[in-house]
Amino acid sequence: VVTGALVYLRAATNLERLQVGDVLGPQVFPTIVAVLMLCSGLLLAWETWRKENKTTSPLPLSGAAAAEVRRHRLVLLAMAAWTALYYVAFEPIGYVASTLVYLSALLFYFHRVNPLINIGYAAAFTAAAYLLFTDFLQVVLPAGIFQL
Amino acid sequence: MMDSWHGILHPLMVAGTPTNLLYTLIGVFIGTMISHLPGIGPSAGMALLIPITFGMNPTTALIMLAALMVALSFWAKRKSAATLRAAQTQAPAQRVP
Repeated sequence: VVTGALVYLRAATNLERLQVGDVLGPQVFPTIVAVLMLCSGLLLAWETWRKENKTTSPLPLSGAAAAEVRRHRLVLLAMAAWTALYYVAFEPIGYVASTLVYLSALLFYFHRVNPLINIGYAAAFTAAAYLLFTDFLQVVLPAGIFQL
Repeated sequence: MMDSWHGILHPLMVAGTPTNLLYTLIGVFIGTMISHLPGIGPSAGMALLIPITFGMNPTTALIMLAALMVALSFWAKRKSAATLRAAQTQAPAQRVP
C-alpha cells in the first residue's frame, strides 16, 4: 500500500499545473488520495508490527500445529489454482457449467455432508445468478455448453 | 477551486445514479445469498462474482463488487460472533474472564 501510494503521489505531482482558471489545479484530488493512502499504509504496517510483537510465541510450533499450518497453506494454494482454472474455463464452457463445477467442488471440500445437497446448493445459486444477470439486468454471460 | 469541488463531488454523483444504486442493492443481495451458502467465505464469494463483471460497465462493476464485499464481510463477522457465543455457551467453565 505504501509503495502504491508513493507511486500515485509521484504521478499526481507530475500532472500539469494550470496557469489560468482553477488555482488548485488537477493535482489536488489525487494528492489528497495519495496522502491518505500513505497514512493508511503506514498505520497498517505499524498495527501489524505491534500485533506480531504481542502474539509472537516464545515456543516453536509443535508437530501437529506445524502440519496444520502446512495443510492450510496447501488448501490456500489449491483454492487459488482452482479459481484461476475457473476464470480460464469461464468463456469456453460457459457461466452455468463452470460455476456449477467450481461451486460444487468448493462445497464438497468445505461442507462435507450429503453430496446431493451440495449439488443442489450449487445448482440453485448458479441458476438464480444466471437468470438475475441475463434476464433482469441484461448482462451478457457466456452460454457455453448449456443454454438455459 | 470549482473544478476541484467538481472532482470531489462527481464520483458521489456517479455512485448515486439509479443504475448504480440498483447494482449496489444487487451486490448486497448476492453477498447475503452467498454468505448463507455453507462453507463459502468472503474470498470465494468475490471469486464467484468477478467473472460476471467481465461484460459490465467498469464503474458499475466496481460499485457492485464493493457492495458485495461489504455484505460478505458483515455476514462473516456475524457468523464468527455467533460461533464464538455458541462455544462460550457450551463451555462456560473455560470462559475468559
